[in-house]
Amino acid sequence: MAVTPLAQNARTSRARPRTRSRWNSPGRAAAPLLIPFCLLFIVFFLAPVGYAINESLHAVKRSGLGFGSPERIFAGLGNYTKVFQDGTFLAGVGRLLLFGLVQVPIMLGLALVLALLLDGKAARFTRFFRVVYFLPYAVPGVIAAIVWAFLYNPEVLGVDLLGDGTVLWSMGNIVTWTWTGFNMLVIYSALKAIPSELYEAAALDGASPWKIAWSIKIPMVRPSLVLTGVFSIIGTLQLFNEPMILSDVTPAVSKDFTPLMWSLQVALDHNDYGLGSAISIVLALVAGGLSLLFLRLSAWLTARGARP
Amino acid sequence: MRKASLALGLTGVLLAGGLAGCGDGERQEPAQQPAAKGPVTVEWWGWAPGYDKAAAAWNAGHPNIQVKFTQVESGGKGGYQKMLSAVKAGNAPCLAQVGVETLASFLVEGALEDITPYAKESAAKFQPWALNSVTFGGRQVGVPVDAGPMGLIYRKDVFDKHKIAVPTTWEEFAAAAQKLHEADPKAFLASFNPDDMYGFSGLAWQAGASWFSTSGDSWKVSITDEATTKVANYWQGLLDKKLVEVKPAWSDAWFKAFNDGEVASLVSAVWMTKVLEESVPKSKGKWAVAPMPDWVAGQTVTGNVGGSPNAVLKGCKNPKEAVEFATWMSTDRGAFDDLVVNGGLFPTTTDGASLPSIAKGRPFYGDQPIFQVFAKAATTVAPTFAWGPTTPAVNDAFNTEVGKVVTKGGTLLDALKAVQAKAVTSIKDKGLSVTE
Repeated sequence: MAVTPLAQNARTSRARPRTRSRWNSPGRAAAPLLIPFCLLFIVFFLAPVGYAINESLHAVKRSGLGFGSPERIFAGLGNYTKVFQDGTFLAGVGRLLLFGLVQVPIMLGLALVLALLLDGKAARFTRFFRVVYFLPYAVPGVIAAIVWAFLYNPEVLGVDLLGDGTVLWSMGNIVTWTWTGFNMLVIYSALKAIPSELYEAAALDGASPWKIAWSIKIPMVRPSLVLTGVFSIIGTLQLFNEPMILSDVTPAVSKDFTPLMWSLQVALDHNDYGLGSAISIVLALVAGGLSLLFLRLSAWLTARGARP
Repeated sequence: MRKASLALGLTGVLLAGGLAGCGDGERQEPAQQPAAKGPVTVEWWGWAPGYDKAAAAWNAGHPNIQVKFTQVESGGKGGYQKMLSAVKAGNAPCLAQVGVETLASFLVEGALEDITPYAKESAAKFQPWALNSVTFGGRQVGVPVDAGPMGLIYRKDVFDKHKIAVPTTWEEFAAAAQKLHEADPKAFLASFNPDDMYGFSGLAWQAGASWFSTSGDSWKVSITDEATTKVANYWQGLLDKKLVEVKPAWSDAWFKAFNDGEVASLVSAVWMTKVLEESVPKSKGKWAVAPMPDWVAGQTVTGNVGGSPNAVLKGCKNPKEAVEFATWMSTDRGAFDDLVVNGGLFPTTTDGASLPSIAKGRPFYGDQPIFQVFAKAATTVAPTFAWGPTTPAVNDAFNTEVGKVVTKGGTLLDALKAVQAKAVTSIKDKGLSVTE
């Protein structure tokens, strides 16, 4: 089972350069270069996914008091119906959607503004600020969460930032702090790639810096905004470090706060790998679906924007 | 298949089961050990303080059976997860510290070996109730180590400062809570831990609760029985009057509150005395121990939290040697005398109460011989309480539901009703039969 996809994958990836490029060297030459990737891809990506799918279709059967030997049985889609049964999954996804709807626009807006500032003509010390903005991303997520958890302690600031109504936004703050710099860098690189002739032409036409930013820069970095948007949606659905750390500090964050945490709890704590795998697969599908939706939406907006 | 076994080596845990899945769910047999000629190594996971020293003491005198101790996080904080996933991955340690509250859950997961043949000989050395707690359907799955009789552990300096008498009943406890908080609005007599089901279960245990039982081939769950309801309403009263401080158990903030005298007491198990000693060393000498408050004055009944037997995990190649070591640690007088001092553990053996260190004073507790308080308490532990087959799930449900009470509002009793419902569901989900 693990070998077939390898063969298939190697075949298709090998076939591609042969048909697309005209270069004469045999496809065999590409194989040594592709094998390390394929091997790692199979071992660390395809195989675990295959394993998870296999697990999600199985359950453990016991009887009576359960002191006999448990038996592994095929469960069909039973685990998948369980994912939606008790509301934990939907509550978790609901929390994340709310989180994403607020946090992602704030973070990307901030990243865009910072990138535009750095790219502006009047900007000074751009290298220094680029590093400073990016620095939080270099702090490992768990450590950042622990440090923020200390800062959120009511005794430090005098306000309860870990209460039921505030903790989601405290988490949003950590995520924004961590990721704004990263997103800024992606957008900033796109800004740097815009040919300067465009600005010169605009300036000749009498466009103000505001107008240039709004009508040239932002439309030109739209692909980067879409990219960071997709990353952020996926990242939001995979929110884990921050709530996991905060769950030890405040009862407002339960161990099933996000779907990923629930999956972990079910698999490791309750030892139900079938349901745990089903949760993570459904979550992956939701993330894929939302990303696709976002891509379609932005493509549609671009197309509409192009036709005045 | 060559490639597959390479992959297996590379991805370990995740892949192992997946490839085994190709072979019709058949697990790969552990590699054959050479016949036990040379020294045998027994891997042992646990978290109790003092275990590392116990292993070292054994190793010094037993060159043929070497015990390799690995400190893991305490069960509820990740230790059990680690053990269960190691069992699933087929590389579990031979011996592991598994609390009595989780033993049945491990058994239901098929994570334990039957050790009856190796443990039979030493059975008479243990108290009957201790042996009972590790025996299911006639099969012994653990070697008892310690018990967790409860007591009132308090800051003597804070009590003295505000002239608060040590409460002997829960009524007096509530009055003392009020008096202390009025004398010092920053101080609380106790903390309420919304994420500590085990601690709460000990309080319910004392009141006469029995959350789980079996009748015939079916489990019975009664987390909202009369006794537990009484305890829940009592703490609800303290919460409503804001006489207890809400703090997550085991959090830094919790220990800081003990250190600062902001929380002046805790009603907890004997092993907590050592945890405090190690977690808030700066408050050395300021603590003391008294018996747990009673519900009815003069009728002493004690609750119990924990007690962690050593269990042999599935796949162990040297169960006999593992049990031999575990039995030595629990029954050898010298070994356990060290554990009393180093681990704050209370023995489960018939002659345990006569260990020399039980009578010794503890500097952290102002040289009070605190183990004598617990030794007396141990004779009055209520015999009714038992645990079910899905303790981790019940624990999670407790944390979620009681957590809601302190963040969103609601009552403890309603939260416990929700825990009860989730506990029943969790047992059903395991495919076991259950009645409410």
